[in-house]
Amino acid sequence: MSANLLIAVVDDDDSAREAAVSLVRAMGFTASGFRSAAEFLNSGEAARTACLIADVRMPGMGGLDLYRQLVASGTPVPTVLVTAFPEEATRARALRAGVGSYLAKPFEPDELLDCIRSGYARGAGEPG
Amino acid sequence: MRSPRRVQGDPPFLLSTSPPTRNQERLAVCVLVVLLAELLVTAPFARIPLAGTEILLPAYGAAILLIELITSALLLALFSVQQSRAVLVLAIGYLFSGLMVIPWTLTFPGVFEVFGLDAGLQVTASIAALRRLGFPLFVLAYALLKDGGAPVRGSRGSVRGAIAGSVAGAVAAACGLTWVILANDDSLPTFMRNARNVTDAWQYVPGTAVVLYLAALAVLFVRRRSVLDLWLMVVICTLLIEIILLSYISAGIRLSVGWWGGRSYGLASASMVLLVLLSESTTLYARVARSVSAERRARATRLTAMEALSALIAHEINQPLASMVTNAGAGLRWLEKKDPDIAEARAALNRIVSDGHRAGTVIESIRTMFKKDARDRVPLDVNHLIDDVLRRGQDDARLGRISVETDLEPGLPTVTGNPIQLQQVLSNLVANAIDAMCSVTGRPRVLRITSRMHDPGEIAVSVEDSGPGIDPEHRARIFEPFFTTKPDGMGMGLMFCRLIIEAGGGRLWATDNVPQGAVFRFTLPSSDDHLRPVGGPGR
Repeated sequence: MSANLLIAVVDDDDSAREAAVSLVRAMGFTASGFRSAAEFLNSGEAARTACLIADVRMPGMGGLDLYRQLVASGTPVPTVLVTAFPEEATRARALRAGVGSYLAKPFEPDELLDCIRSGYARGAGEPG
Repeated sequence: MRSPRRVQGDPPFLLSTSPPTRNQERLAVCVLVVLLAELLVTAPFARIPLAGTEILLPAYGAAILLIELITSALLLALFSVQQSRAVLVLAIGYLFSGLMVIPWTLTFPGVFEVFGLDAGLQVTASIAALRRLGFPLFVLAYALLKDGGAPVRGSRGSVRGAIAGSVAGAVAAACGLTWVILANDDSLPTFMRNARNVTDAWQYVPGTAVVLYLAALAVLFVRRRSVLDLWLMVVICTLLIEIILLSYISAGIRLSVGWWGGRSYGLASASMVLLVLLSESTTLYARVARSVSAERRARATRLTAMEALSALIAHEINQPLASMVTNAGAGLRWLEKKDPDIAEARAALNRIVSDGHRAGTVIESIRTMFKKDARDRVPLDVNHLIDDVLRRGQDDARLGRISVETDLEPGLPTVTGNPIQLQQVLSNLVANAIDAMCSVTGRPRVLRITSRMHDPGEIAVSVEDSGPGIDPEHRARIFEPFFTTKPDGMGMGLMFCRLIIEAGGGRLWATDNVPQGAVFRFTLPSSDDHLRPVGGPGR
């Protein structure tokens, strides 16, 4: 897999973000954490992001709106939405919007890995 | 708002205990103005005799009798609730006055002659004198008794006994006095020259009455407290106008324009307390009904609050739990590698430790939120708390391109509270304000926090934003549990903010900001300032 490609973790909860970044890195990917949707958008990392892991509920822009914004701006990043409060309605909304996966926290590492792999496959064309 | 001058321990929501509102005072003045105007209109024609109007007297007497008996019954009902001697005395005053109308009408010269009822010339006038002087005495007694001493605290039976005894006494007095007057026809003072005109001796009666009215009025004015006092003052004023019309302006000429005008005042004054009793009890009943339903609503909300508590625990605990699981997963993977990365694994374990502590803190803060004792309540400097919360929130504010303004009054006294809880309240309000302004374009995004000395002994803090404001439709519901306007909101924050503030003896409410946005304002009582303030929660 390309070392240049990035897994972005957007979560306002420091502990959850650091945990996810660590887990993704332990899986062998390059990962970077962002405190908010705005921070991610302003970072200019969207272009090289192979997969986005975003929390559904964040102050300001939530994960789903972040995904929509990326689609609207022409850089549809394969996205995994994660939430500590799974709701069927939000899940349906997310999947309808084209989000790849919707996972409840705490997620199984393997489950996340599958999601990242399929995201990689969709976004980068070539899994590593 | 005027402060209610209610005596401690009196039952609220009674005519004799609730203070008059400004509107009621205005209405009382209006009534007096109308009555005075009527006096001025009647005055020039006062002495014109109206022949043949005796026929109206029985109707007048019947009306007075009925009105005063009903008033008396309502006042007795009031007495049975409040058990105030003053109210009992007033009720008996109305009863006595009403009963004495019977012999007065029956003996009025030329009214019931067809039935052969024709008492002596002085009888009617003597009865009138008794009524005239008796009623203000009862009012005076009411005014003097009403603030004095404890109410007659007794069993239901003794209240019933007091009512029965007083009523029997009033009836006996009315009958006895009438009998004495009828039996001593010859030795009565000469009040009447003939059936229509009074003598000079009569002048003592209105003179004394005026003095009694003025005395009653003065005592009522000095000791006025309740709705009943206010309207009794109007009644006395009306009676004063009546006696002026009857005895001075119409020179005591019976059945003249002025005399009938005076009678109309008698009717007005008799009806007044009755009307007030009826309308006020309806209003008070409505007020009680409203407060009962508000109480019921509050209880329903509290029940949901208990359900909300479990949701809150799930909400607050789930985050650190999920992070712990993820961190554990990451740690395992770092260790399972062909070349285990001990440093990364240690970092993951450290994060698990802090997540565990975080969960513990949440549990503890939820526990203290519902704990009654003041162990964790310390004197707090509100301005320090605000600074602290703003420092923590400054990243969010910067990201949202929000300018933060503060206007904190220096040297505020401390408030007593749990620092973590109050910090939760403040950060919740700040986070809400920041969220609300995310959608704002074309005008500055301003978060403004002020702290002020509110009323003496109370500190007010406001969190203002320039967001879209609160939808009027949602205004009433924003503090309810599970109510949220955010797509992913839990609808718990404001409810718990209010719980915390109210548990601390304060109030939390929302208003509109000018020109745009919302203001959340809370007050907290200031603590005794001999204790040293503590700034933040001290991590």
